[in-house]
Amino acid sequence: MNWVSPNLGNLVLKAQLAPGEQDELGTPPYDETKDGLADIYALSATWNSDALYAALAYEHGYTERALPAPVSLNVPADRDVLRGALGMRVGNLSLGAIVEELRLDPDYPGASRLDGTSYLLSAGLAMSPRLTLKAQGAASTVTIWGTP
Amino acid sequence: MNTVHRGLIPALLVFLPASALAAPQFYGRIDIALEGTDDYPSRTLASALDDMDEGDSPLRDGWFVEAYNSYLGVRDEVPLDVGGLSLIYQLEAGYDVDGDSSDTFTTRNSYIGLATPWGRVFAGRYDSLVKQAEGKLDQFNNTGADMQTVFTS
Repeated sequence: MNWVSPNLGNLVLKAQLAPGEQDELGTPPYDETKDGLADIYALSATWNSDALYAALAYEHGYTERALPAPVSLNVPADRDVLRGALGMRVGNLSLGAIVEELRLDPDYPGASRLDGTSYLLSAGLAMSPRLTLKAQGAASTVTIWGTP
Repeated sequence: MNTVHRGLIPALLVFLPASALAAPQFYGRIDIALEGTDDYPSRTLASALDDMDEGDSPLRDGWFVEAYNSYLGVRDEVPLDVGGLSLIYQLEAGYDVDGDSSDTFTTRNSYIGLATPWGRVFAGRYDSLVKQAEGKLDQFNNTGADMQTVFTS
């Protein structure tokens, strides 16, 4: 289910929700059936003008996490993602940056949380209306808190 | 005098053939590229690390004819003449132009809903808000170097 606001000047707000549709997660006894109305929900704000693009989006959802030995179980996990994006246009040059924070929190006593951060930098130089020179780099880091 | 005609419009919607009204928009895209890549076999870092033996390079290289982002779609916005409402819909199917996949069609952003003075409300399959936030900043969107090789979506 989606809601997209009217244009509030350069600002657009969005909201999303989705039922889990009885997704089965995990291995008994650490299992869970996602049968709610809003097992996934998300909110975002987007600013879009000729020279500037900015967006912030948050999503809460779920996933399954394979815990390593000695536990060796698939367990349900909360999944939270926050992404920020910024783009600028200066003449023929477009610059972009995106940062994303990911958090996976397994629903298992003592299991560690995983935090991931991803980055992207991009540039596009319009040589002509049909030709753009592009460059982009992205990287990701993962931190696992506590003992796995 | 407007009020006199209001009742007629729903009737016209029912009885006129679709071609007499504003026609739905048919659209599509064929996006084929010859791509030389040097990347993780599964194109996502997390799963690439699963099948590695010690001493293996995680990189695979090769040449590919790729159908990055080819699709067919139908969409329209139909004014309902009630309270500023419009019916909106979109049916969009990814089309496997290069025949690499066993599925010819895949579901892409498809929905039906209402456009209202307070925004649009619709249900179906649609990109997550986190994905939408990338805007046009991913210069290599849909290619083998799409940002989803490093990001979650």
